[in-house]
Amino acid sequence: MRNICFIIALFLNLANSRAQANKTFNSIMRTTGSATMYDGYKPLMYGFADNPVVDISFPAKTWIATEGDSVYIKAWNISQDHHTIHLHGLDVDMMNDGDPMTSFELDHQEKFTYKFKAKHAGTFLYHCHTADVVHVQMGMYGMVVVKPQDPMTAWTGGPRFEKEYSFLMSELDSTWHNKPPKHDTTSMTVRIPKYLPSYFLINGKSKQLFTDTILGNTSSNIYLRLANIGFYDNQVILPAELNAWIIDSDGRPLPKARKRDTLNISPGERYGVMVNSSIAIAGSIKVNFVELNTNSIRGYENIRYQINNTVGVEQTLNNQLLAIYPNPATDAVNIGTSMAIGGTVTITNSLGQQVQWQPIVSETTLFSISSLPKGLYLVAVNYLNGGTATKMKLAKE
Amino acid sequence: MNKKFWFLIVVVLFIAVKLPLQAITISKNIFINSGELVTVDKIKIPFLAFNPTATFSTTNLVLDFTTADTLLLIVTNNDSQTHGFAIKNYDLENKTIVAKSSITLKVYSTTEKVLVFYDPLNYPQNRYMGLGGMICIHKNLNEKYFYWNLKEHEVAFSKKIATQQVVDWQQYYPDYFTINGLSHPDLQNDASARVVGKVGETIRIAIANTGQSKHAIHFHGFHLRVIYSSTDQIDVDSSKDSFPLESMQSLILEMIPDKSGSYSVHDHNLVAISGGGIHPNGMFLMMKID
Repeated sequence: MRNICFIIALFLNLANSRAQANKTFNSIMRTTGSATMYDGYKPLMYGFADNPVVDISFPAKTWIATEGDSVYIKAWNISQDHHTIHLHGLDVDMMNDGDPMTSFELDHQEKFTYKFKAKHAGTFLYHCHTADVVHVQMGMYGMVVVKPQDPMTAWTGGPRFEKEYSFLMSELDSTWHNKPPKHDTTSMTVRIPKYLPSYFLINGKSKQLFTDTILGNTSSNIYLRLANIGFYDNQVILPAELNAWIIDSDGRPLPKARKRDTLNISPGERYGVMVNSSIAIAGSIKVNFVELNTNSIRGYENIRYQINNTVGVEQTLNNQLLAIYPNPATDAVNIGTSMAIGGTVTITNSLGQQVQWQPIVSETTLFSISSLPKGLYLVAVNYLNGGTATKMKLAKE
Repeated sequence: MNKKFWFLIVVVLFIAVKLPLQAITISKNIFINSGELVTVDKIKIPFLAFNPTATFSTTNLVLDFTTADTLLLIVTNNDSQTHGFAIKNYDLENKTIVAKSSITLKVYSTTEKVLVFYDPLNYPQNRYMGLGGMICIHKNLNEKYFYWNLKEHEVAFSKKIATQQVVDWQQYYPDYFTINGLSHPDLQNDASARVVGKVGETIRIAIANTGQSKHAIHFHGFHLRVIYSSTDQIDVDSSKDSFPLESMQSLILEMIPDKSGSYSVHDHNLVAISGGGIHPNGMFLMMKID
């Protein structure tokens, strides 16, 4: 009997350990990066790279782990400045917290492996905490996503979703980037200029460069991870037709999901929002950037969404977007593309025969399909440079 | 005999149960004083405060009592100007107190909460100048509590308001950020603010924003449970690490540390960790858990 119990315990332990793994991420700290703003301005950026021979990513790459994982972050500072990695919201111990006031910072060519156990599914952040106001403004930040064992749920036992999207909000003040404030590494102080950002960013981009679009189908859950690493508030206007529910914050489920049409996200906060639209619709979620001293809106950005009936929307191979609406359609259909002007759209029937094509002269191309027999078709975008988008289904009724 | 006996028992039990619930009236004095707040880099700013005596101090008095008590509050205006007294989210008419006079009022609550008392006259100027404090109503006074009164200051604004000049709040850009009137590093010596505790201990932190700006307080190392919230943005019973507070909003948070060490707490509008343009001389605290 004792042996049976032992074997069962061993089996359970093994089963459990299979679900937990080690995850390792490289994080090379550099201060010689750059980014491109919508108007062509290329600010000097600090940031994190995967290896020492590539440039930084802005924002830094999202680290994705699974609940229960042991996560290792191999940090290597190849810059001339001091840096750390603060694992924001992950409740790590003092030595792995990345706060130079309570632990240590990495000098030039120093290495350290930060460790933490991913105890809670949720959305978190990481950023440099050395002279944090400067190094965060300079771009040293990214997201940490801890998924539950079932990656299509918001948390273990939480609501399921079909798609998820992450949006990280921040601002950029060119004055700081043109002449980055230097901190005194002995006194650990830094003199900072007034903060007057002129670029309001989502995932490091704005205006025509920010093309991320939420794509999904009617009556299906889409999970949005929203995080604010800037120094302003984000006032997120959620259109009523999206049927948005705020379900978690700071990596923990909320005691009660709340239906909201406006969500304020303050610096350092993260929110999980589940949207589920019953109607096919296209539009945008407006994000206002609100200055905290005067409560005044200083900028805004839009996150576009496209909710389709049944047959949906796909993301193309080279990360461009293709949207078809309405779908199914009877007489005409709009084919929305981004960054594909100059290319062509082709419609192919189930026999593989091209039945229509049209040049793309704007972001949306209207096709008349009234002459086509009922059935399923494939739509493809062919880019000017020769690349071809993933083909998508179109239903003619 | 039997009936009498049981009647007596019931009466004794009734008295035993009822007696501790009898509200105890606690009398406290509070004085409106004017003086100067000395910033972390030794700049003097005109300041007003609610103090326990007629002697000026930059730290506003925290009024503590329990849900079983009634607070009898005597507010004396020790300043040369007329001031007012009000309590946010509390059923009390705004009071006016002319210079060198007093008013008396009663405050009670059957639930644990933090109320913000302030001067409603010349709003928001008098409150911005320092006249904003916390009434903390506890379940019992044996709980380990810390108190954070968040504020920020723009020297030019404070000087203008002190000399009755007009200010444009749409141009407000504070240069000093304080908790209980202090900034880092001085703040680390404030025993009422600096969280010192032990692993497994229940620690409560009462926070009120009596400033004009919104502040977003981020805790390193721990998630905290919300016990009381005056803001719709934060739900009671939620567990978070970052807590935004608009002007005049308040929170009670509960922390039960699971590990030892020193952990920072700071405004995650990272500009607010500065004082006089120097970072990190602002809204920055270090907790110590043994």
